[in-house]
Amino acid sequence: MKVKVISRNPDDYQRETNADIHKLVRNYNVDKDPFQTQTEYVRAMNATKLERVFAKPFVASLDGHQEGVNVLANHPFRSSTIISGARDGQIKIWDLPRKTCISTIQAHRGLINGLSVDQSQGTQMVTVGSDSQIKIWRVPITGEEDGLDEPVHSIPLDEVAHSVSHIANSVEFVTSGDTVNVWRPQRDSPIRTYNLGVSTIHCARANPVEEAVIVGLTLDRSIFVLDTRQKTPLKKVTMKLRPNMVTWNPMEPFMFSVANDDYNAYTFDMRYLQQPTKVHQGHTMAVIDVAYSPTGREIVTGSFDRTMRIFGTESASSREVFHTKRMQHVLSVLYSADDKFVLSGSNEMNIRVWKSNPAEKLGPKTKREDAALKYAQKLRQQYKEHPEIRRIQRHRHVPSSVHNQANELRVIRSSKQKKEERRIIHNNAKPQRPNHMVDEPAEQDE
Amino acid sequence: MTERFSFKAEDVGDVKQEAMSWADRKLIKNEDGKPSFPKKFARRGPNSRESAPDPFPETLPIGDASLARHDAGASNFDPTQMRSNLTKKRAEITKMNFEARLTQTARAEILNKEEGGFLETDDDAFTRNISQRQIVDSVDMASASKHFDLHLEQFGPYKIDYTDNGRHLLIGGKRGHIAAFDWHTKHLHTENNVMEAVRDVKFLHTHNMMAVSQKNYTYIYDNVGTELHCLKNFHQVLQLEFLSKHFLLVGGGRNSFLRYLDVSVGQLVTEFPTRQGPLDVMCQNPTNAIIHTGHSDGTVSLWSPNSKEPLVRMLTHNGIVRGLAVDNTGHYMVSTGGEGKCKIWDLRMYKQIAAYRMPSLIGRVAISDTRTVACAVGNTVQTFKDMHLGLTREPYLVHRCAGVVSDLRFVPFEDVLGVGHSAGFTSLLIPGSGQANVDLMRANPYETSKQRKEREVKQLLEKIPCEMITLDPDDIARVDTETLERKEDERKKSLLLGNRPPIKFTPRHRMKGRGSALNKERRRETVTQMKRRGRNDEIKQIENEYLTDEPREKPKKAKQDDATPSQHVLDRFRVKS
Repeated sequence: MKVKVISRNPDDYQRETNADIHKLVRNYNVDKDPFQTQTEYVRAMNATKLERVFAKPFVASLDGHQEGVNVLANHPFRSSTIISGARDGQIKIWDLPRKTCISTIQAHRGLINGLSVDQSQGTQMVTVGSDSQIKIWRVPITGEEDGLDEPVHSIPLDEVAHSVSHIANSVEFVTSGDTVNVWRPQRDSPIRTYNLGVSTIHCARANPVEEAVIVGLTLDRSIFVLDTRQKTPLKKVTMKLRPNMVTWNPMEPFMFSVANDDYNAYTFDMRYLQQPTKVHQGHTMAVIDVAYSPTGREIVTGSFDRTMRIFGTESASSREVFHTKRMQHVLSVLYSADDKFVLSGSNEMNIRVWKSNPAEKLGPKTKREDAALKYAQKLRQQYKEHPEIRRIQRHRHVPSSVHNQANELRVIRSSKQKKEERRIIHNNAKPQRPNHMVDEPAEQDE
Repeated sequence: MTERFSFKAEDVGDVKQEAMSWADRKLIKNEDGKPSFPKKFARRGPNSRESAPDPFPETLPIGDASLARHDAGASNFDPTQMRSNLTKKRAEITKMNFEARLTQTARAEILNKEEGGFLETDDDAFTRNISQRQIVDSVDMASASKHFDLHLEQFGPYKIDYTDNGRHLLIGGKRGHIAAFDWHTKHLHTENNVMEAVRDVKFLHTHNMMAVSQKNYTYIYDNVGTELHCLKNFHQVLQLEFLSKHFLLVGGGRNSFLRYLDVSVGQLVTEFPTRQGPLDVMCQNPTNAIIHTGHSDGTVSLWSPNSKEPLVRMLTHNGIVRGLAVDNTGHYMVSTGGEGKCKIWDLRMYKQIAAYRMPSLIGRVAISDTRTVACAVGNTVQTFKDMHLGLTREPYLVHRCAGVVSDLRFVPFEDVLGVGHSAGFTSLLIPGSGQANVDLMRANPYETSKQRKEREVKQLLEKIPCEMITLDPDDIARVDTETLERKEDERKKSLLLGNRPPIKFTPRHRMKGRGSALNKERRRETVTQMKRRGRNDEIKQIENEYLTDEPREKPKKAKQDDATPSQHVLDRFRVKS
């Protein structure tokens, strides 16, 4: 007779000393746990709720300006440096990790219209103000250097320059006013001028990758894309309401986003300007500023309705909305260079720093912690279509004025849509795609 | 004068593309056409240097059977179903990851060290003639200690329970004796006499808490014997079950009430009368937490706390149902009946697989991890192998106990069967009845108290709400198309049957002299007519869909030759034209 009974050696399953880790003997041959899906669903629900519990986006408020902050800029190489310009002509350079101001410079007598840091070396920055001057400054590193208060070079202009932007990998910069001008730092007159018609160009941005492409916004509600290798602009399209700000996608340099007065932000493809590729809806008042994340996957918009929203580039609805009772109209927004923070400069002289992923744990994480957080993130992503989980994940608190205004806008939109549906039924017409642009014949400018 | 500058990007030397961009990532296929990880992302092992050649260059082939065992749907995943190219590429990479995981898991089978037990006789003799004494004398000392007898004649037939990891044993005698101990080390946790009739005992999620159903109420005791709770709701409970993933204590009462209690928050979830008589035969299905109850009219009902009516009713036996057991995979159910039959049922299709004739004294039944069935027949315990395959002709092992057998349970992960009888408790060795390789993430027989505490906390966090108890636990991952279709159907049918509520439309009241009564009336008329017309059109459409006798697709008429028309008997009366 041969007999064998299961006989396990407990030493194979138990640790030898208290200093060892526990042994984990696995059997991958066993059937799948029958409650695995349900357990995962419960875990996903817990992960979603915990994410909302830990969602505390506000980090810090940078105090010091004496007027509304309407320009914010990054340093291209030093991610800890932020430069802000206010409406009284003062610019401040901040050390973001220490939340202190390195240096303050009274740059202009009047509004700061634009601010840009040199892309190739990062040692100089250019500001334009409503006192019709272009000034070039040294970027301070510690703040204790001499001669920071005096500009390196100052150029008086005949017209007011409305924006400035450095060309990719170059010390040259582009300003816009009545015309688009390209400047070299040492020169007193522009090396190139583009005359695009009668309307003022209130915003011009050079492509961060392609040195020859510039996008601009004119006061007659149109967007143009200009190629400096050619004489005439590539394309010009007109929107229904005025676009306020334009930014290039740093990762996909043929895409740009536009913040518009009609409560939306639009993402365009430079090659197909007839219709926007994406309409980002969510704000309840005019969108004043838009900025791209360094990953190119997300944009942050600041609006007149005292909130800031973060949208994915591919999504029409916002992922996050940031607001505080103390924050009034958001005049400028910025994404930090490490994609972790979002900055908002507002009407009441404060710059606020927020976490772009509110529930994220900053700082060093142990391996197990990191693995657990990644698992929770994956669970939320996997189960995000289930109704209960989706409801909790999407819910954000907004101020009651924004909430009521959003309801009103929803009613307005739905009534327009109903009217359109009835018109189609009544006239047996074909449904049309919503048109965000004004159809105009192509203009030829000299 | 404006100067012209030509901007041409100049290449600075030859820039090799080191990293594979995400968009360019292509599937690398082996010679046999199966995708594999790109070599760039393959893990570097100790033999990755070029200098040391690999002594075993070929990869070991994996059998298709072991791949199929671990395949939880990876082969059904079809990337070509995706709509856009981007999602298709993403899905292909996901499928590659699934298949890599599949092969790794199949390779990891080699890590299973333990082998199952077996019993082989010389000269093809029957195994049923081998006694426990013979087995115990032939195995090693540790296994021999797993067979023991507790002589407790005074306190009546014993009910027993093991914890989920098979480490702790709880016995409860009918005359009030309860004892909980670690049966490996024989270390006694607590022993007590509650001075009342004890009907059933059950461990909760750990060995620290036990539920004892006594004469009138059910009590919960600590591992040192302290009475923690008295559950007044659980009146005269004959059978207890614990659903560990849901933390639900289920009691089947003498008045046919089925009660569910959530022990984590201490609230009675639901109680309802089953109207089938006293619920003294009850078992749970470990794969979907459904309670199976057997009744005196030979039926077995399946219950979930979400419905007052049984989900399924099966007619199993001609006599009363004496014992029920469901195996670990949830595929098979064993039931024993008063007419002396032991039947195996397929729980997916609710059909009988096999029926065996047994003595009519047959009582309880238990089924092990490897589908060894143990039946209690009077004083004896008879075990059978491969009953679900229909091949059993004689018992596997037989043992005579000192008293009438009242409870049977197989120990998870061990080749041991625990028998509670009227003269105490016996632990029998049944080689080949337990699962040899234990997965410590599921159940740990060797857990320390710290591990037990962590497990308790994790179990509580992952407690599944009782609303999710259904026949198929994977329902949560499916789209509920049925409810939507059913709602649509019901709406259409109610319209057909004449359920037409009157259309009421109140036009907007306009102020400041613009709201003339005539315009208001006109608007009301036009809108109600429009809505009425819309509804009538819909009803007509539904009528066409549901009520016409014509088939929707008219079958194509066969092409007829002009030379030979089809002939009919009455053709001679047809008017020739």
